[in-house]
Amino acid sequence: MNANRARETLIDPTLSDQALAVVRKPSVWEILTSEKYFKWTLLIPLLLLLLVFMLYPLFYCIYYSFHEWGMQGDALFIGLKNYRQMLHDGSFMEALARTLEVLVICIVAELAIGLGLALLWNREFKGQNIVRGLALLPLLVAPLVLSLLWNFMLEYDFGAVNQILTAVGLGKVYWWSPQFALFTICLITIWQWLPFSIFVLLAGLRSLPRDVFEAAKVDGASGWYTFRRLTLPMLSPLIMIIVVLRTMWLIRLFDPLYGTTRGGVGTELLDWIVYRTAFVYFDVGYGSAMAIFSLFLTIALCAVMFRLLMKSLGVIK
Amino acid sequence: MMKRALFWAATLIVLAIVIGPLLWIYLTAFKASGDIFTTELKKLIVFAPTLDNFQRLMTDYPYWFNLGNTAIVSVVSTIFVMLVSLPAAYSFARWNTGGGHLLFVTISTRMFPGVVAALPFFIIFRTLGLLDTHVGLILLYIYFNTSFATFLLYGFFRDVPAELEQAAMIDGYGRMEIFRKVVFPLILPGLAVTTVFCLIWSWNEFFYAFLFTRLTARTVNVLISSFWGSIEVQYGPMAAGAGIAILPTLVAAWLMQRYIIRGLTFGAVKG
Amino acid sequence: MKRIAALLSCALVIIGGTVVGAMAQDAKFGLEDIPEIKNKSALNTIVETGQVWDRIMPYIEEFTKKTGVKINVERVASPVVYSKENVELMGGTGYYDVVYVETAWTTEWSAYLHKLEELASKYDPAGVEGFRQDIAHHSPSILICGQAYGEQMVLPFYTYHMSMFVRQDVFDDPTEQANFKAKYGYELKAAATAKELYDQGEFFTRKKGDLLKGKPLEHDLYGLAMMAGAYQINDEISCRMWGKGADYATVVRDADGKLKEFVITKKDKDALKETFAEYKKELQWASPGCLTANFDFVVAQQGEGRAIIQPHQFSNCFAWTASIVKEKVPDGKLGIWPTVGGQPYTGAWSVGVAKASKNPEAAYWLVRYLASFECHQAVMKEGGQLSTRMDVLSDPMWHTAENKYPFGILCDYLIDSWKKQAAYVPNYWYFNTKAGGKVYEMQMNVFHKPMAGEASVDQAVQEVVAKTLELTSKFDKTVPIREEK
Repeated sequence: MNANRARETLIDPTLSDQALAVVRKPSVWEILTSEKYFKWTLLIPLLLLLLVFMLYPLFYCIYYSFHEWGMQGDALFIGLKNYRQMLHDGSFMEALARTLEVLVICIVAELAIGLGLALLWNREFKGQNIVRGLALLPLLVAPLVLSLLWNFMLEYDFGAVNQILTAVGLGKVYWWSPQFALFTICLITIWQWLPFSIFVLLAGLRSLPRDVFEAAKVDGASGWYTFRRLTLPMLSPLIMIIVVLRTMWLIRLFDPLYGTTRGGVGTELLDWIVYRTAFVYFDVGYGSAMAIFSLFLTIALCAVMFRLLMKSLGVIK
Repeated sequence: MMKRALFWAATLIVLAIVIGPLLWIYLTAFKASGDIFTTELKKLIVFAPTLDNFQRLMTDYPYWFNLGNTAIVSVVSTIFVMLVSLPAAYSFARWNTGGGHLLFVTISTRMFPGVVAALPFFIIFRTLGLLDTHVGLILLYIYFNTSFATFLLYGFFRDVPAELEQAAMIDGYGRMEIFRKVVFPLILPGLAVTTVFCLIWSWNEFFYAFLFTRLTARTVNVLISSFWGSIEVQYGPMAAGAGIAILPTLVAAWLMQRYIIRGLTFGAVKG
Repeated sequence: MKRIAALLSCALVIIGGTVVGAMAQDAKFGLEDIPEIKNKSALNTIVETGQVWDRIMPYIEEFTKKTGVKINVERVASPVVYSKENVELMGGTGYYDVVYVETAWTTEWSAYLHKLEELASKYDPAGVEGFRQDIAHHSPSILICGQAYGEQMVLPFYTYHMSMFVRQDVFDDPTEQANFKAKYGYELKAAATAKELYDQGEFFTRKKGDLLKGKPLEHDLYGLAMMAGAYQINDEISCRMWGKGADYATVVRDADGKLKEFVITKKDKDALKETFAEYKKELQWASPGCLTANFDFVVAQQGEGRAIIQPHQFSNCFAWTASIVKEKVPDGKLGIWPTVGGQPYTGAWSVGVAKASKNPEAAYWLVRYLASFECHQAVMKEGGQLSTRMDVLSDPMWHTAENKYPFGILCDYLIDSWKKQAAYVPNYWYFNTKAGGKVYEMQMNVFHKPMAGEASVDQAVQEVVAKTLELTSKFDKTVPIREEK
């Protein structure tokens, strides 16, 4: 913060602009790169992009969420009926609850396991590049292809996983039973996204200042104490980032369902029901209402966390 | 010694879980269909390998053509994402433009259910004649990836000390020059990481690729997931197709690995 | 040299004779009958992936050679054909000329499709009469499925008409027969009622080490194999609903036979409830994997000898299942029978001409060609799918001693089943409503719920009724629907 203030006093943007204005009329390029406007100039492409690609579908959906329309004929204005229907729609509410459940399970598991593995691999060892490189792989495979393949691998009788489990004497697991299927979806998701947590946390661990830890060691602090009092607090902004990003992505979880349960056996998640409504029934009005609702839910969830994050980064007070 | 053994035991178990399914993809790619559906455990690994799946993929389907589309769309969209995200992230990081709100708005673009946003895009793309064109898909991917790319780059820019820029300013550098000559070289590793992520995500995207393309701009992922007929799921060609399609991302990730390990800190950890 | 010449001439005579004979016997529509097409603009079409279309591609090239019209074929996964085509049709892109239709959507899409007879009168030198003569070779049941409001909109390409597959060798085994009779008091034969099916499911569900046909089993055995996943369960339920003489909504017509309204009658609701309950009870005799299974796992289960009966399966899986049985259970043999109630789920993947087509003339001829004897022969011979043409199914080549099993009995079953069902098909609700495709997709989801224990049978019935009413009133504005309270 001090540095920022120092910079502001060092070069006064208003002054230099005025000085230029006296000499001659500045060119557009000069205005754009001037101290005063440069930060906005940098944002022009982004703002244009947002204007077109964000506002257009948003307004489109808000408009149709107040209408009954199936992509044919004229849209019929029906006020808040779609929203009312949504609140009374048992399947929608269940999907919402399930999505939150998946959210919590996946984030907790990814953080816990990710942190464990990051700590484990945060050292020099033989073949470290190979190990870490391999660990990154799940993130690279197209999620949709994976869901088709997982569906096969986890099949009760023919699936490779159950065959291996039987061979080692653990017996078959009924992965897609109504009681277990949602966890199976979580497992697939965690499997794919764990590398993300591992690598973010590993990067964090590597950039921690060494001297602090050495000092703690000299003072005779136990490993657990160092972890709790030094490592965790310093990593906390990163953990927050993982939580924000994963929340955002997990609410939109869709691909793992596509090739596996297709919303069956108690695994229908928010985006699947939205997909079904908007894309299979082409009930655009109702689908839009669901989309708007789920958008604002996500924003609400993430805004809180984002604020906390920005605070911990010292960007806002 | 005990500790070392434990370390390797844990590492190997994790790696087995991670690699197992991927290995399965490659094994399946070389299997005849009779060997795919089986309850005999040993057939999982022991079978007569065949290249039929690959052959079918190459002869009956425009596999390479679609893979080429994927490459074009991913690479071009990633370049444009960088052109948008780099300056924006710099602005957010250096001047906190918009007080964090604008950054949040940028990130929130990924919060809208994509399946619903697809319909308005489809209708406008039809009007503009962008359906089944590379340009159309590239535009969509720019939009999708900008959110994460900006956020990631934002972190890298935060890591660049402001003092460096002030020093350059005193030396009489203009803003553009500072960005080009001082800041840019410092965030190259960050740029690399972000590029890889954008590439991978556009490479793997399915839903929009499926909906917005037909023949000309169809990507390989749409082809791979299409091996789902009404009375048969052709796991063989699917696995073969996926096996090849993974390779480029694999190479990209491998090359960028050390940057990823160093760089994925979002500028959030400071000594 | 002389001998070769003699042989050659012999061969020529034989071939020539057959060709002439075939022509004399029955002049079937083929490539040669397509007149010069003036409009040469390329056709776009979309079909699913899979072997059958792999094999038809060369025929489509032949069409191009003959007519000079290029065909661009887009191929997508079967479960998303509907969504993709719908977006393009409703979005008004006008991209597809030839549309790939599952017959349950025919009425829904009728607004986007040309009436084939109108095209015939416009482009066909043989006129509507010639058109009718050629398509009369198709199964009457299936043709009706491809009609909307009495007009032929699409022509069938291959059928997924359902049936019951049993392990005939087990059913014919004297020990099994005797044991069954001793336990249940009646003969063991392909189930005609829900009770028989249930008994058979129970009877054949055995543990590893138990005897089957007097030999100890090397693995657990299940009586039944069903596709209770949220993808094809609705087709199974349809077999049983129709088999009870009920439907998801009853089609009511006025005195002239015109559609008046759809009513979800008390009988319909009771039948649905009963069907759910029966199906759920039967599931206990199937592998736990069935709860999320699609056709391929179920086929594999019976093929591997782990299940005795597939009570409702797509007939086009029969030869496939039989081939797995042959490999894994060398002494096994399959039999094909009507589903319980005798009115299996029926229909066909079909092709029609989009109204938005820029070249309806060529599109019409492509549709005709794809439904012709030549292509249907290829569908069966090379593509491994089932033709809907009676002249293909009754072709002697399927009924030779070596082809009798599995093809001959399969063809016989289809011909017989369609004959019996033809009277009922016009009133199946799916083929009369514009909301068919939507309700169909909804059913996949809701029918699965009581089986997975997500909802009780009563709740599921209520949900089906409520959603059927909602979707139909939203998407079919031409015919009103109501519920009989």
